[in-house]
Amino acid sequence: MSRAGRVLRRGLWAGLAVVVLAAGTLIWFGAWHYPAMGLAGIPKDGYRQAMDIAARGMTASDGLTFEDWDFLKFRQVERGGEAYAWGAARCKAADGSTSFYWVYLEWSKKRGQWLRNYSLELAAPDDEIYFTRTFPGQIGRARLALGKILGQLASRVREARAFPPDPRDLQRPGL
Amino acid sequence: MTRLLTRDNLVRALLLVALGGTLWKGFLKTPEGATLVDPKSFYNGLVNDGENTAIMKERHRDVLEATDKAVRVRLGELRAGVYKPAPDSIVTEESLERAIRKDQATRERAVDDEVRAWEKLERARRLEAAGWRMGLGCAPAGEGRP
Repeated sequence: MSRAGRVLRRGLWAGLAVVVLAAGTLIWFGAWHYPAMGLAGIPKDGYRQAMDIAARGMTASDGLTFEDWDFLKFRQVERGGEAYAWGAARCKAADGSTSFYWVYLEWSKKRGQWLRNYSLELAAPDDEIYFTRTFPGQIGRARLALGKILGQLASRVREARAFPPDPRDLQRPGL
Repeated sequence: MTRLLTRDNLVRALLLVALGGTLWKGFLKTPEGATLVDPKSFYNGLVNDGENTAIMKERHRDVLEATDKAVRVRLGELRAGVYKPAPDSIVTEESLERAIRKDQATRERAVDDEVRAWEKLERARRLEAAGWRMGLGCAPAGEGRP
């Protein structure tokens, strides 16, 4: 085989390795590391503590100051071991406006701990709820959706990097 | 002379046993088999499914109610001048008012979904309390009434 072919083949393998590593890291972070961060050891009925830790971390990484829970719910089934906690956190943005952040945790039977689930700022400026049938167009929709996904990923990564070794050091209400 | 115990016949017999086992397992998956052979596990699954669905539907309604509140508060603060969207933002007074209506439309359906989920859960509990079993013949229309 020619030299150029060999170089090309090695380059392709290296590229493939990078892609696999990147995908693996993304899956590890999103499905394993981030959901569990700082929530290990909290029992099922300690949902309030778990919700506080999750809410403080995710609102802070979006530049919001957690004030208090607008409401908070805990539900569990009688048959089987599933349990869920969700609520809306009332926050203040930097410009003094109010924001509500949806926080949702699920109890993992497999890992025996609370895990973060679908959580986001409600009625955020890039929310679909402001769309009409014709505005924005397909490209605009795609751009906003991609921006939202990447923005959330960046926010989660920021949160993970700033996460204190002891979750009790997270922001306190009124700070 | 024909021998009955040959290697081929042994394999055939084992295959038949495996086939029978598969058929039995499949029968246990049907409502007829599950309610007849292991009703406790069948109803545990049915009630567990109903409970999880009801909780999910309640959560879906809650997220819409929380969104409604978030939009209304945002609209109030926009009118009061506290919330100032970026110049090219899609958040305007009109889009916020529209968002309230859109959210309400979705919520009407979510409320129905929640009612249906509770009905499903109650039906599962009622069937269990009535000791309902799906017979092997034609089941009567409707459900077993306690």
